[in-house]
Amino acid sequence: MILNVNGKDYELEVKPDEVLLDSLRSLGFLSVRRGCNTSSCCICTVMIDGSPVLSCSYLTRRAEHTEIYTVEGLLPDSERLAVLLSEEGADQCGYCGPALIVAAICLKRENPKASEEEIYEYMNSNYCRCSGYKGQMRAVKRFFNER
Amino acid sequence: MIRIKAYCEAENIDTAYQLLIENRRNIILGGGCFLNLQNKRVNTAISLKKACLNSIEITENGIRIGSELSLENVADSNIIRKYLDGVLSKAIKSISGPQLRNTAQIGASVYSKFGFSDIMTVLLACDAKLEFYKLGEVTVEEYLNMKVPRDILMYVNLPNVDSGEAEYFNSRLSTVDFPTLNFAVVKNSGLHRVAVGARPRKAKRIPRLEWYLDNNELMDENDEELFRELELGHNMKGSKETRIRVVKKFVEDYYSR
Repeated sequence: MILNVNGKDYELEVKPDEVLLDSLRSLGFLSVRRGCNTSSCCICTVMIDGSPVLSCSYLTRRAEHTEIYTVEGLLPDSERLAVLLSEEGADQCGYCGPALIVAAICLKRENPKASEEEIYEYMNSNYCRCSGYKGQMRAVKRFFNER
Repeated sequence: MIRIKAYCEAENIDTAYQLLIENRRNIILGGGCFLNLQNKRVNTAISLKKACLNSIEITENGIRIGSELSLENVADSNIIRKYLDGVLSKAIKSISGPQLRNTAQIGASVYSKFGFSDIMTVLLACDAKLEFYKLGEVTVEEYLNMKVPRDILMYVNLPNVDSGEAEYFNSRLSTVDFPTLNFAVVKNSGLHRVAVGARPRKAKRIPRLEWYLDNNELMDENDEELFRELELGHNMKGSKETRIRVVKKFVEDYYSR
């Protein structure tokens, strides 16, 4: 099957029960990470046709004929938000960072003028187990205030 | 994890149905949110991606929601946001975050009739109907009390309402958790339909509570008939006593909204 990732087509063989998370990692997109593997933590978030989805629970075959984006393909926004996360002291281990960045970019594209409450509501399922959420929210708010 | 031997995108519903009944280990695929939470072997997983079940239409009898739509698509639809004070949108938006709602599908969420389902509670209060390929149309109330059919759920149909109002409340230990209790009320032509879900068992209509609301009365905490109907129990999300207090609070909230 053909998978379109970050604007480029990749031909790959997949098992019927292979999930997108595994396929993307096998293609070298290592920013997509496995967290809870139970559709809860959102660490595996990728963008499909402009919306954030859980790649740990998304069959790769279902993603055929869609446009998939990971942080690698969302430059320069993803890079800018990574800098803001760093400046706000939001990152410790950084494991959840790529998923948070993808979710924030999805929201900004859906709703560029999102209020603080809307940002909190949208990001409420992006788990972080070491830094807490204050720094992350400061960075995301700064990201929304830019441009 | 669900192990799948073959994956098939059916060209239409008839093909999907023939494939479904061919082998008892064939299944219709939903969003996949429970892929990693179940342990079963599937022969052919049938996708309805090409079956044109991904739209919301206004029909003569109400609103028709295609089963392949994601929960987020349903909640964000202007038609659904306007229907009965946006009660279905509100219930869907209370489920986890956008990632899960974009992955999960309305058909699979309804078909599975989970006890904790926010959606089933609201659909029951709205007197919604489910349209299956072979079985035809059944009410949500009938569906909740029948054996899960080996059939394809095509549409969720919301009935026409001239001038109704509705409210949905839920209690959760944290915003992204499963609910401790769901509570939906629809008032139409002066009469109430009340559904309570996550009791922790599946959603159920509570006629005694409807009587209280029809007569504008606060519920009597010692009303045995009411608690017999509610059948509240306990699980890791809350005790029976907690659920009793939550129901009482939701009735008060409904009056003071």
